[in-house]
Amino acid sequence: MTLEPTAFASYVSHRVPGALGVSVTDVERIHGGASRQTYRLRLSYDEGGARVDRPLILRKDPPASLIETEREAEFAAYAAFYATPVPVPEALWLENDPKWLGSPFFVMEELQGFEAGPQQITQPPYAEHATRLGEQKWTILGQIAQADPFALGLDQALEAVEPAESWKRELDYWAAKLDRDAGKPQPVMQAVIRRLRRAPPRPPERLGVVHGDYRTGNFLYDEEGSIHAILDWEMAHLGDPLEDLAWSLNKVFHWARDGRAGGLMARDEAISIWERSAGREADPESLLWWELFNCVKGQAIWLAAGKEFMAGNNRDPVLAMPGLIMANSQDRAALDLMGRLR
Amino acid sequence: MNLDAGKMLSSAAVGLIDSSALGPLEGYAGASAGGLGMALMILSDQLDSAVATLSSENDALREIFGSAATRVGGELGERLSATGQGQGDDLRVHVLQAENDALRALLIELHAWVEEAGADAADLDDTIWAELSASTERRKVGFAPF
Repeated sequence: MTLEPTAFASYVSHRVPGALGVSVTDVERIHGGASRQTYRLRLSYDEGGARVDRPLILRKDPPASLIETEREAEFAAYAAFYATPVPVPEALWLENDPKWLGSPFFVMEELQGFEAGPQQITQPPYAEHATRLGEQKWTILGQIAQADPFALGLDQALEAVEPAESWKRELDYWAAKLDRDAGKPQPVMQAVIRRLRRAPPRPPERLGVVHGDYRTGNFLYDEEGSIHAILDWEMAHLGDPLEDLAWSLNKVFHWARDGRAGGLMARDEAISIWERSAGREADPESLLWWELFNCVKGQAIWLAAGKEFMAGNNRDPVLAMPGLIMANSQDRAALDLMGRLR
Repeated sequence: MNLDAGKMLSSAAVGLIDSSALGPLEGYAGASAGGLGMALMILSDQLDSAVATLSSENDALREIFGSAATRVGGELGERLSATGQGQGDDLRVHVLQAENDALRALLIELHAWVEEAGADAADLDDTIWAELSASTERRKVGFAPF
């Protein structure tokens, strides 16, 4: 599936009634996450005597994706955090009608000139700014944890849950997804799931916003060590913000392979920064629960991706890699957290 | 010259990664070709070790089941005993993999029983965890992050 410039130009003419001479150029598919097809393009048109010329990102539902995510949730998260201390690109249009481009999509501004790659951040010229990037990464995550989802209006797009039940909703969902998509028995993860059900975490004092995939690779950074935008909110939901902190510490994201969380800084340092920013302590037992939970969630995602690729539902090589590279690492991360890795 | 499947895959992988197979590719196409090359590289490595990995793991699991069967008893114990005495002699990968799937499914049942048994089965619990750890060592991918 490709993106037809004329089809999108027609959509813009419909969406912006005063737009004249709509032009869509430089359409290029990019690797912007496996859950949606992502395109970069330039949109130009005349409106009220002025020329509008904007680089945009269009995220379109694929035939099959890494996870069945709600585009409304992702769009709502971008819209809610725009112009807050949590940096995000401006979300422009959400379109659920497939008649325009063959499947639903949404459009947001493109922030140009930045890097997002998790491997590149461990290499020059970015590596020397690892500490500065880490400070921003976990400070911003603390700001997300502090955000009031009801004041932001996010309870309209993201389903609320009793704080004491948030762990159960997430575990039930991801354990079921693992059962459905793993294809093979998962003795490590099944042991983790039994342990998680035996000893639930302490409930959060209040419901918070959970990004759902907060890791190195899902933010834009520059050569001076500044973070410019948090991306990929497709798994955003309401729950315990410790879930995000735990995900950011997942050892499968140790891209520098030297024990630094997210390839940036020591685990304890990252937790301290998050605690200062979030204004709350990360209870070690609850954090461990969420870290183990995230091993289950991660494994469900990696194996679901491989299933889609093997079934031929989606030929994007991005879907082949997690099952090959991450799945065994995720088992090892879980064993390590439980003190069972030899 | 005999063709070596692993080396063929590896060569194809390098051709995709360094663009020598398809010529220079940019943007999404280049990244996709590189991704497929990486996948082939991993599969090439796994092709070489698949029989050894699966055979070792299946043997280790049968040994655990054989020693656990009498302690567990009942219907589960009978299945553990029967499985523990089994011997796979077909070394084709898909056969070994099917055996591995069945053995790991039974391991999940045994592990749940052991957890219910508590302190009385602590040694068996340690044995199972040790095998699960060893299993991830056997399946380790060279350039995985952890």
